[in-house]
This record gives sequence, C-alpha cells and structure tokens, in this order.
Amino acid sequence: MGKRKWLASLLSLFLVTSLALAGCGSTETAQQGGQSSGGDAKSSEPQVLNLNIHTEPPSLLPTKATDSTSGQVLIHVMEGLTRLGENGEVKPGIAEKWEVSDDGLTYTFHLRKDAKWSDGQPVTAHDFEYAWKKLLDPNSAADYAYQLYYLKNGQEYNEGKAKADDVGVKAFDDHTLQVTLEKPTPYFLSLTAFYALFPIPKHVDEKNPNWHKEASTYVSNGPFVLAEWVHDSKIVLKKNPNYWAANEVKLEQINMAMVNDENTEYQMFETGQLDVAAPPTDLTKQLIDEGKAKVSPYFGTYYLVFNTKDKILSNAKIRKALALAIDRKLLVENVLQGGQVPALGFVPPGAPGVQDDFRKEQGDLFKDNDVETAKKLLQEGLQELGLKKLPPIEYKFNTNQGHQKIAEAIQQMWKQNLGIEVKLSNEEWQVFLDSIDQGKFQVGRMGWIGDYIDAMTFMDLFVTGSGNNYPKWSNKTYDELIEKAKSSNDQAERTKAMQEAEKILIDEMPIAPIYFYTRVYMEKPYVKGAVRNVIMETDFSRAWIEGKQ
Amino acid sequence: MLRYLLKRLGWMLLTLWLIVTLTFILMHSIPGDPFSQDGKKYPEPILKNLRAKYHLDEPLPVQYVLYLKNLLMLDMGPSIKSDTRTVNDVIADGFPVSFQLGLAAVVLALVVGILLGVLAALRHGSWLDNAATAVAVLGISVPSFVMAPLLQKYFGLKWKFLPVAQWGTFEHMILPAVALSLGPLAVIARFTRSSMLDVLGQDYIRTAKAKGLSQPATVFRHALRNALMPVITYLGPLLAAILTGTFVIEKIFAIPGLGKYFVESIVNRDYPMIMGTTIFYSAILVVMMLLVDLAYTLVDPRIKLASEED
Amino acid sequence: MAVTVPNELFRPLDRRELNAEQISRPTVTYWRDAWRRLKQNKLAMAGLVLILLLVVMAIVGPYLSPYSYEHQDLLRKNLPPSGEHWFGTDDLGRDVFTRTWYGARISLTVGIVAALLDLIIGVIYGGIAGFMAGRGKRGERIDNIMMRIVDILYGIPYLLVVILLLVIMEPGIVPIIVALAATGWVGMARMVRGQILQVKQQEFVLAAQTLGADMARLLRKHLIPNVMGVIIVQLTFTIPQAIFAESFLSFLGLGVQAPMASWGTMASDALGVVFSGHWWRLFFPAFFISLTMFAFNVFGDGLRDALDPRLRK
Repeated sequence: MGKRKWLASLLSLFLVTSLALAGCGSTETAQQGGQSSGGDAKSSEPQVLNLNIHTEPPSLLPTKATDSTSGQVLIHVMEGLTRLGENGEVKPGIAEKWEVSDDGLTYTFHLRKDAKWSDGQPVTAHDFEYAWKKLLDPNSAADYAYQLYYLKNGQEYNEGKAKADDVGVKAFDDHTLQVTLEKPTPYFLSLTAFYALFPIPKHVDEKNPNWHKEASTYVSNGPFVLAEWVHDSKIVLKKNPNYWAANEVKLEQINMAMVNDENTEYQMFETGQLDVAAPPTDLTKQLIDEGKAKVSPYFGTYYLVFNTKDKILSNAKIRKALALAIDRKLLVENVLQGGQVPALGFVPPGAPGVQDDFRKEQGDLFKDNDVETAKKLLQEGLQELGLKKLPPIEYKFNTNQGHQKIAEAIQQMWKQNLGIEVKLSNEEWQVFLDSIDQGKFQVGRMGWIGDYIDAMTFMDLFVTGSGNNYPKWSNKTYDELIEKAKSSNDQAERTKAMQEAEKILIDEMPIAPIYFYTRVYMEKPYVKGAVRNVIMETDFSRAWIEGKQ
Repeated sequence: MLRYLLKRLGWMLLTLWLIVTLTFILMHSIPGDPFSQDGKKYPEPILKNLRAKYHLDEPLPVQYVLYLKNLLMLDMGPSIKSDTRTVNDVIADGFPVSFQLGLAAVVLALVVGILLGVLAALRHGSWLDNAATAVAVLGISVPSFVMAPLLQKYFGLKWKFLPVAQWGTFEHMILPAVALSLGPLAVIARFTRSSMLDVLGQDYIRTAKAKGLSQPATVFRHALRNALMPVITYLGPLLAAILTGTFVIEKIFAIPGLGKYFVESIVNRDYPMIMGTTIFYSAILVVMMLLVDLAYTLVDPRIKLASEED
Repeated sequence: MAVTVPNELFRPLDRRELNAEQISRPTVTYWRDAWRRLKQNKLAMAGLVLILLLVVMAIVGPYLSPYSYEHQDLLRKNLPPSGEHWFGTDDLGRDVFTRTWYGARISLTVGIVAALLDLIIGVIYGGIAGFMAGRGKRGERIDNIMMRIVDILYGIPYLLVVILLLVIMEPGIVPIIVALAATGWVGMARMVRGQILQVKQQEFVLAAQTLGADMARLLRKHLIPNVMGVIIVQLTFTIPQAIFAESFLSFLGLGVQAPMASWGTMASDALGVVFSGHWWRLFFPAFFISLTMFAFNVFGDGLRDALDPRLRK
C-alpha cells in the first residue's frame, strides 16, 4: 500500500491538470512539414497512397450505391463505359468507341475486347445489360434507378408497367451494347461514367448474390481490386493486373481509412498517415492562405428558399429585396472562408453552354449587396401588400454549425440593410426537410449538387410540381422553356432555352442563390496525377508517388 | 433467492417488451424516412419500390407484429442504410470493439477513482482532498469532446508517444480509454469520498480502530466495502452505456465500435437499426440493473430486496 | 439469520406511546443547526459567495460592455482579449464577454432547474422505492415497478424523445426543462434508492419504525438526512451535465435559438480552437462552467459536513 499508489494518483492528477491548462494556453498550432514523419514501416514501399473515405461505404454493388463514400471506392475498383477527365470531358472506358444516331436517341457502344474482370473473365456487353436492368428492376428497389429513366421504357419497367425485355438496352454480341433513349439526352454519355451505371459481373452475381459484401468474393473490372475490407475501419485496394490499361496504373496500393472527424483527419495528415485530407473548418482559411490547402470547384449551389405560398413572400419584390440585401462577398470571405464563389446566378460553373461554360456565357444576373435597389424594392413590395413595415421573418436551417453561421450573418445583414427583424430557428435535418416540404417555413436554406454535368440538373428543379420545388413556385414560361430544352437535341437551342429560363428564375427570385460550392483539400506534394472535376469523386487511378523518399 | 431471480427475469422481459414497443411507436411518430438523406427527393416510383422492399407500406401494426416475430427468431432485420450488413452483423462487428474499449475505461476509472476518493476521505479537508476535488471538477466540466482532441494534439501530434487515432494495437486503446474514463473517474472519486466519510463516522469503524486494527486494514476490510454502494449504483447504467460504445470518442478516435450506430440510425431513420441498437443496449441495461441489486446484497447482507414472505 | 418472533408476543401499542418518537427538546432544528455549522466552514462559504457572484454577473454582466450579444463585426472576428473586448471576439466578430454573461443566464437557469428536478422528483421517487423494497409482497412489487419504469426511461433512445419534443413544442427554455424533466432525475432516484436500502437496515431506523413513525416521517427525519452526502454529490454532477445537455438540445433545435448563446453552445461551437489557436473562445465558457461546478462542489462538501447527522454536536 501507500507510496506507489500515492504516486500514481498524484501523477494522473498532475497529468490531467497540466493537460487542461496546456490546451487552453497555446496559440500556435503544431505544423509538421510535408515530409513523412510518421516513421511508418510501409513508407519504404514507394507506390502506396493513403486516403480517407470518412465512413464505411454503405454498398459496393454499383446498382445500390448512392453516396460519395461508396462512389469513391467504386470509381477505383470498377469502370463504366466511359470515364470523366479533368474538365468533365468524356473519355473511353470499357467502351472503346461509340456512335450516336442523328436524332440523338440511339447509342451504340463498342466494348474493348481486352477488358477483363479481376477473375480473368471478359467484361461483356451482357454485364452492362444485366446491371442496368437490375438497376431498374422494381424488386431491387434501387435508389438511383431514376438515373436510367432516360432509357426507353426505363421508368415504365421500374414502375412495373413494362417488362425487362422492353427496356432500351441490348447486348448485340459480347462487345456491342445498344442503348435506346426516351428523349434525346445530350448528357447521357457523361452519365455512363457515373457509378450507378457501372457493370456487374453477371457470371458471379448469378451464382452468389452476396459477392459484393466481402473483399474475398469481390470481383471488379477497374484499375484496382478490393484486397481487404475491415468494416468501419479500412479498405485496402491493390492494383488489378487484369485491368485493360494496367500499364497506365502506377500505384500498387491504396489504403482507405475511415476517419470521420475533421480534426483527427487533419492530424493524421500532419503525422503522415494520410496523403490527402480535407482541412478542418476552423483552419481552412489559414491553410489556404499558407498554400497548404487547395480549392477545387464543385458542381453545387447553396441557396435560400422563399416560400411563395407565404402571404408576405408571395410578393416577388420583397423576395428580391431580401436576395439583394445579402453581401455574398463578405459572407464568403469572412464566414465561409473555403474559397466559395458568390452566386449571382443559379447554375454553378462547370456546365457546358452554347460554346463555352454555361455560367460564363450567362454572366452575373444581379448585383451582389445591392442595398439601394433592395430598399426601393422593399418599399414597393410593402405598398403592393398594403403594409407599413415588414413583420418579423422566420429563417429556418438544419442543425449544423456552418448553416448556423451563415444564418446569423444574413440575419444581421437584413437587419442592417433593410431594418428587418429575423427570427432564426434550427431543426434536426429530417424534421427540417419535412417542414420545408410541408411549406411550414418562410425562408429556409437549401443546397443542390448536380447529378450530372449539365445545367438541366439544376434547372428542372423549379418546374411546376417538381418534388424538389420547395418554394412551390410556378411559372408558365419557365415550364415551357425547360420542356423545350428537354426535348431538343441541339446543344445551342437547349442551352439558350435554359439560359432564358434562368433569367426568369432570378427575376422572380423564388430562391436566392448564395454561393457556389467548392471542395478544399490538402495533398502531400509527392502525390501526383490526381484527377479532380466538378462532379466526380477524386480519381487517383492514374496517380503516382514521386519524391517521398 | 431463486424465486426472486425468476421473478426478476419476468420483469426484465416485460421491461424489454415495453421499451421495444415504445421505441417503435416513437420512431414512427417523428417526421422523416430512411430515403431522403441528402435532401434530394426521389421520384415517387422509386420511393414506392423502396417502401415495398422494407415493408414500410404495410400498416404499422402489421409492421410491428412482423418485427416482433423476427425478433423472436433473434433476427433484427436488414439495415436500410447499409446494403452490406444486417443489424445483427453490425452489432457482431462493433460490439467487441466497444466492449474492449469500454472495459478498459471502466477499469481505469474504478481503480483511480476509488483510490482518489479513499485518499480524499482519509485526509478530509487537506490539500489532497481539495486537489481530488479539482480533478473531479475538471473531469466533469471538461467534457470528453474537448479532452479527446487535446490528448490527440499533445500525445499524438506533438510528442508522438501514441497513435492519433484508429484501432488495432494496445497503443491505439490508451488515449481513447483515458479520454473515456475521465468523466466516470471523477464521479466515482466523488461518490467514494462522500460515502467513505459517512462510513468512517460510524460506530463499527470506531470499534474496529479501537480493537487495534491498522488503518489500511480498517479502510479496506470494513469501510470501503460499505462505501462502495453509490459506486455500484452508478456502475449499472454506466456499464450498459460505455460497453455498447460512445459516439463522440469513437468518432474522434476513428474506432470501429457500435457507438455511432445509436446516433446515426436515428439521424438516418434507419428503423431496423434504431430498434436493434435499442434492444441490444436495453438487454444489457436490464441485466446490469439486476446485477447491481444483487451486488447490494453482497456488499451489505442485511439488504433485502425480496419480501420475506417468499 | 432473521429471528422469527411469535405473533402472540406482540402487544398493541398504547396510544400515549404513539408520540414517543417525537423529539421534545426545544428546537434547534436539524436545518438551523446545519446552517450554524455551515457558516463556520470558510471554504463552503467561499463557494456560496462565488455562486452568488456568478448569479449577479449573469444579471448585470451583459450591461457592463458596450456590445450586444448578437452584434457582429465580421471584420473584427477572432480577436484575442484586449481592453476593447475583454474576453476577445468570436468567429463572427461578436463580443465574447457579453455573450459569456448572457449565456450565464441560460446555463445557470438550466443547471438550477435540473438540480431542483433532481431534488423534487429524484429524491422522493428513489426514497419511496428504497423504502418499499423488501417490505412485504406489496412493497417488493412497488419497488420493482418503480425501478422498471426507471429502466424504461434509460432504455428508450433519448434522441427520439428530443426529436418528438422538437416537433410538438416551440423552441425555448420550456422544452429544455421538459426534456430534462423527462429523464434527468433517474440517476438521482437510483442513487437515493440504493443508499436507503442500506441505511434503513440500521438500528435507529428500526427503532423509529417500531415506535410508529410512518413512511413520510421516516424518510424525512431519518432516511434522507442520512443519505444527504450522496444526494449532494449527485447534485453537483447534475448541474454541469444539464449545462452540457442544454447545448446538445439547443444544437438540435429544441433550446435557445441562435444568435443567443449559452456556455454549453459557446463551448461546443468553439471546438475547433484546439487547433486554430483562438483559445479564448473555448476558455471562457469552459472556465465558467468549471468555476460553477467548483463552487457548487466546495459548497456541497461543506453542506454535506454540516448536514451529517453524526457530526452533530
């Protein structure tokens, strides 16, 4: 008894106190250089990349995957008909070449003959037909079945109104796949690079439907194979020697950690356990300024929804006044600090326009922080409503620190610029969604990330009666323009229709765009050749390690 | 005693059934569904197929009976969020990890906490007593979500003694176990001190001292045993909670435990997962509560829970 | 071990003896006596003064600085403490000093309400269950039912309850109190029951019982005072736990709405500062939570000593 335990308790006491004090006292942050300091034994192996995918991927079966975590794994182990390049351009994947009929309704894909599954079996057109029909099969109940509603009878089959044989996808022979669409869909080609449309090894799936649940039975056709999958812990990918372009793949191994805490992720990057990471929110600005973090655009828009069924917000001038009285530049630079771009239109940069980028051609559709016009519009709006002063407005957001900060900043801007009282209220995510959906709100926050690289993924949100039309806004001309764009096969014609529609949207302001999303990442200097575009998860399949020592 | 145990077993099953039923009603009475996670509303046919697949299109009483039927076969159903693992799989994977970590934290908290409490009581009013109070105050008022990153920053990032996060070796367990144990440690120390003071003032301790028993022997053979009552009480729910995993610590240290499923299942409205985690936790809880009552009678044989008419 | 006494050896109690257990000494009551001893305990009084000081600052603190709790200056954000901003500014350029004392109102209210709930519901509930346990078939059943209700409250996922409250109630301090009242007291109830199980086996309780004291009197005069130490310790934990619970509930949308602040929400908002170095944003709310708990602890310790029936002279 006695002394030793005494000591132990004293020691622990000292430890606890000194820690708590130390944590509060220091202002500098430990910054290790880019050089590996982890002293990991593996660092002697050159071509190994350490990534973080944050969580367990819910599904590695292409037809059932619906989230970016699963997508991040899938784009490395599987390959679709095409791949997307740096600028979202379509590159050959399993399909070597393809033809599109003049009416834009029939696609014929020619599959390369040297494409193999990791078990040595050839990848055939039948695997694609099988996978796509499985995606649409009502019994699979796949979330992303609607990504193939473009196929002839796709939606009908999914609704149980047509047979599998009626669906517009046919394998002519092992290497020819013919696809028939319902309507001309110029962006269909880029959709084939999306993981929901990846093939499934028919010969495996028919024998063992559970093949995709463990690494030992997983068969893939992409640059890597699934070597190890420890649930909730890590995934290890190894180079696939059977991949048709194996000579282009330099990495031998990719380790995917599942770390879901941003501060932990950052520390693991600093200690060299991760080669790529996202910076923690509170450090993002500092790291960007120091050049340690980089910003890449992302195909999404953050916006406010105005409930057009609300007595006050039914007035377009009031909506516009609110939208104009927001200083987006100040918000982006001082609150968000992740290199976001103030949104002065709805469609983010990255979508194709007539010649160039959709956003570039369209330009800014209104002025940021236009307080003068906002004040004028507010007065006119109040007059139209027969009101002297605007009653307090409720601003709803879902439980999240980032959304809260934006809400607090906008609350102050409206108060200062227009003298409006704003009540903030936050709700748990699904309660919030329900409130917005039921119209139990005045102003709410929303975000939209494009499903495919085309302005349509944004523009068809606000068609009358669309499920995601939360402002419950309806405009006949807008609907007609979108319908026109949807049935056209001419890129200039359909783009012009959408650009026209976007002007109407901004003129009526059922929503107020705030900013265009970005992705901020840190990457060790020895990681080369990662491909980032505005929509897909980062593609490391052609990356390599150079200069790590 | 056996009769009492059997009776308690009956009560336990009844309690579990009530928890299951109430949770079922509760989770279906809040807004939301498992299929609208990122705010993109799916087209109606997609939702129809999904609801059909998970029997969510059936009337609630039918779903309830169906669920209980499967539960009797010990099948807790699929996880709607994961296509890879069933609820049973997730528990089988995560529980052993959470259990190890939780056990380490509890042992640490018990050993250090009781020692600190006893010392504080024996030196009542001294600087040691006050220092122990300070530790307890810090342990409670600096919550684990602050303590954990601090431990990571100094032991992992700066001094590089220990891994920052993840799971696998003994070294990986140290920081999370310490972070997890501080709260319970503080509570145990305070309760031990308080009831130690109560016991030390009692006649039989004075008698023991008068009979010439040395101090450590008095403390451990007589006083501590009786002073453990509040610690035992506290341990019941603590063990159930800590052994099934804690969301915050497991998230910060990237530990593949069960803790996150308690929270995420509700956020995602993953109904079978909500039910599964709740039942699993509750089953452990009711067993712990019984063990607490039994431990009372071991510590103090005068305590009677069963009526003597039995 | 129980010695069975044949029924015929018992005789009905004489009416005059019914009040024999009553104390006839002119009342230096238990409580007055305790207060006298408490006043002599310097550390405890310091704790009490500290608590009062915190309450006073919560009332007047926000008026001591020229800033309001919600006033933002985005160009003056994350400033360290200075003559202008005594506690620095936060990430929206708001004055941390003002927000700290504004937050004290909410946090102290929540802490004290939670303590009261513990005392009112928890102590009585646990007292009755502990008293009933093992007291005949009926007593056993009452204890069992009461404790199984506690099990159920532990078992049902709290998050679900909170979300339900979120749907049916307007956010504010009331739903917070409801959410705390729903389950906040169960720890206290179990603690009190456990201690009473032990205390009630002691001779003085048996004596009082034999002399005809009823349950309420037994609990009030004999059992509860003897478990006061544990009750006080539990209370000192309830207060900081409630302060943190409030921030969790507010985060989910049940409690006070932004831009209002509480110590709990300020602390959890400032988590990132462990790495970004804006320590003042975490330090001040965390410091005052600790200080509150420390004050309640030393005061509680003194109170415990003062209330200990065995130390009574």
